[in-house]
Amino acid sequence: MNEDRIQHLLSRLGQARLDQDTSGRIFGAIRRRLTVRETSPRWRACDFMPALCMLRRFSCVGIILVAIIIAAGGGTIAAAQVAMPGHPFYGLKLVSERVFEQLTPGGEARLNLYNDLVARRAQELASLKVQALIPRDGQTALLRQGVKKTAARLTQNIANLRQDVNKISASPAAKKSFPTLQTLNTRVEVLETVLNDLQDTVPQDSQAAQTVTQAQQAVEDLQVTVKTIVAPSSRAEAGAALEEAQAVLAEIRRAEDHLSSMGISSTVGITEDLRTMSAMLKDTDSFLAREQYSEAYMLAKTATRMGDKILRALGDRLINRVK
Amino acid sequence: MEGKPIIYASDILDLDVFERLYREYGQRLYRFIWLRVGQREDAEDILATVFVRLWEFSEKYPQTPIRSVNALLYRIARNAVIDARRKRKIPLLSMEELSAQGMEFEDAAQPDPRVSSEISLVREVMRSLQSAEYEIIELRFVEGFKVADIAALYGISENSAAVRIHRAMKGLKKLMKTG
Repeated sequence: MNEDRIQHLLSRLGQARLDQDTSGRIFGAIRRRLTVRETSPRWRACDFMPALCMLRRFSCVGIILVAIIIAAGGGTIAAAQVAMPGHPFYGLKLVSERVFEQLTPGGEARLNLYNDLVARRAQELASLKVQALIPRDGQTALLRQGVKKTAARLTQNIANLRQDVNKISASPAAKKSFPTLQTLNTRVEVLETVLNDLQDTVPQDSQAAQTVTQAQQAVEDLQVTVKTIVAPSSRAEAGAALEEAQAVLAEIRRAEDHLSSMGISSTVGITEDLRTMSAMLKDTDSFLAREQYSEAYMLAKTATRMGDKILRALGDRLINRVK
Repeated sequence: MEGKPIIYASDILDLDVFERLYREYGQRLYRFIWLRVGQREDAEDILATVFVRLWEFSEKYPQTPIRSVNALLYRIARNAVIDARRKRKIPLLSMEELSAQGMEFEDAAQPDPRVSSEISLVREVMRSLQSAEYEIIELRFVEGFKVADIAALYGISENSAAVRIHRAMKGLKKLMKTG
């Protein structure tokens, strides 16, 4: 096949007929796209403000830079969360806490947040107390400043916390927050000890001492608030647990009477367990009288579990006799 | 537009001129694009893109003298096809596959089986050429480009264009003999 023949064949290589309709449709699409583009605000903005086009061109670089700044900022904030008073990042820690406060919804989530913030303050004050034990140059001024700042912040945290505690106690879902309030109660007790110790490390006439006194007052107020909420609820729960245990004990007595009428006596183990259970119920009464509701509740629950075990053992003895 | 005096890009912004260019080149560009993308609908879409880009080019650089509208349009079409291929891998279709979509490979009124088989052979051999050689042969002998237009399209001298066409044809003939 010579070159002329190849060229001839090539000239016939594929004919695509663009019919009138298709051609018109494509031209219509072209005009539509041109019209849309001309009315597009982006296009007009670029026409009149070429700088915008440049900005768009470098938008990728911008996004990367913003991502780097956010990542670096996020890292710094994360690092600041463990900063203690006197550390350069401590201010950032307090600012980030305020932001978290604003972002956290009300209810138990907020209560938990303040609970954590109070724990943080307790940790910071404890750290300051330890620092006070190691004498260093210029330490007194720094410590005073640290104590002042932290104690003031603690007072503010506690004030916010009290507001939330009051709100929760008035709500129908208060019972759900009972464990959180109990944790808070424990934390407040720790805080009270730390503040008392700290009061000894700063001069009585200093501003730091004043802020510590204010914080102590706030802690006392919080303790009263928490106790007034927690105590009745706890007394009720402990009372209910005691009643439940007493009901189990009454059932055991009835079962024993029934078995003895059939000539079946209790084993040594059952008698021993029953004696322990009775002693537990007596102690529960004592705890209730001393307003130690948590202990009373726990003991009553243990007594109930023991009572259930005794009932099962009595049931086994009856079944064995029938067999 | 070949043989006409130089026009400026701003002239294309006249809707009558623009439409005339579409009527004159649309058909050939359509075939050029279709052979490359395989799908008729894609070819129609890319053809529209080519003319939109021609308008945009004219708006952006209105003072540009255009020696060959033909070369400019084919350059835009080549780039548009490359963009489409970048988005998704498109295989070079066989004659049968293109025929199935409506592409005609011989005179439909007088079908000649011998010519059909020869065209089929040329097409198959073309497929084994390198893409640069394939394209230059296609532009010169399938699309009917003048050497000057090819030179303008590639931005090379007419001599260089002629040499490239010659080499590509030599390669095709060699393959025809061996294949």
